[in-house]
Amino acid sequence: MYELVRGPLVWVSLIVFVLGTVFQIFRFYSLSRKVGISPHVPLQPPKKDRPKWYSPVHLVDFFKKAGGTILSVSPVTITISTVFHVLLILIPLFLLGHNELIDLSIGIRLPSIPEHVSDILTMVVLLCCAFFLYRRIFMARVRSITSFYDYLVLALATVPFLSGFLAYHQMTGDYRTMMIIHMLSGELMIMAIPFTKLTHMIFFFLNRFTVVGEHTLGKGSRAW
Amino acid sequence: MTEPAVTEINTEKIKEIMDASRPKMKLWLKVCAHCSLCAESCFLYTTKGQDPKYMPSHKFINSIGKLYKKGGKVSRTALEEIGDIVWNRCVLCTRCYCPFGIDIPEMIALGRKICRSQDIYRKYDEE
Repeated sequence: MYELVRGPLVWVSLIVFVLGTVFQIFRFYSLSRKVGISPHVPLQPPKKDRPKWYSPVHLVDFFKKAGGTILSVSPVTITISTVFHVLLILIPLFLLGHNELIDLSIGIRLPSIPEHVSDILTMVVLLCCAFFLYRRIFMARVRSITSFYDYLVLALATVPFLSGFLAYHQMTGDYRTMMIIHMLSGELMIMAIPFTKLTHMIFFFLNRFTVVGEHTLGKGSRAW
Repeated sequence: MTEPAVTEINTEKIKEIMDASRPKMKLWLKVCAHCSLCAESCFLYTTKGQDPKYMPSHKFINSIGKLYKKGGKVSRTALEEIGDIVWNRCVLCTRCYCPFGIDIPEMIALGRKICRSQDIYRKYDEE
C-alpha cells in the first residue's frame, strides 16, 4: 500500500489533474466568446507617459483601488482567504520532504523552504481551515448555503496538511499509516481539483482575468 | 389583468429552456464555493437586515440550482417559490459581485424565463 500511494498513484493523480484542467480550459473557451475592448477597462495613457513599474504611484493606486473592492467589505475573510490559497500552493511545492522525493524520483528539485518555516506555515493553513469551518458553522449567511458537500471539500483541503503535520511531528503512534493517509488525501485533492467545487481554483483565473465585466482583474477579452 | 388559469407545470418546456443553458449553468453552480462573499454586493441583503435569503448565492442556489438538481421536475408550488425568489428578492440591478466571476444576474434571468413560461411572473397591477 505504501509503495502504491508513494509511486504510481502520484503519477495517476498528476495526470488526472493535468488532463482535467486542460478539459476545463477547453470547456471555458467553448462556452465563452471573444469580444472587443471592455468598456470597464479605462483607456491607458501612451506607454512613455505611464509611471515605471517601481514607481510608488502604483502602490498608492493599489490601495486606492483596494478601498473600493471586496477587501474593504470583508478585510478579515479576504486576508485569511488569500493567505490560505497562496500557502495551499506554495507549501507543497517548496516543502523539503517533497523535493527530496521528487529528486529521488526524477532527479530535479525546486528550491526548498526551511523545515521550521514550512512547519509554521502549515499551522497557518490549519488555522485558516479552522476559520473556514467556523464560518460554515456559526455565520448564518454561510450556513444557509452550506451542505455536506461543502464540509467534504473543506476536508479535502485540510486532511493533507493535518496528516502531514501529524506525521512530521510523529504525534500518532503509527507513522506509516499517517503517511499513507497524507499521501492518499493529497492525491485525492489533486485529482478532485478539476472535477469538484475545487475547480474554482481554475475558473477564478479564467473568469476574473479574461471575462469582460465590472470586476475584471485583467483586460477582459471574452464574454459568456 | 386576468388571473391566468392554474395549469399543470409543463416540464418539457422547462427542460427545453434549461437545456439551452445547461453547460454554462451547471458550470457556474459547480464553481460557486458557497463562500458568501457576494452578500454585501446586494443592496436588498444590506437593507433587509442582512437576511441570508437575499444573498445573491442563496437566490440562485435555491432557484436555478434547485431546478437543475431536480431536472426541471418541480411542482407548481415549488416553482411559485422559485418565482418569489427571482421576481421579488432580486431586481436584476446586475451589480452583484462574485469572487469567481459567476454571472449571477444571468442565472436569475434564466429563472425568470422559466417561471414566465409557466405563467409565474410579477403582477404589477395587483400590487
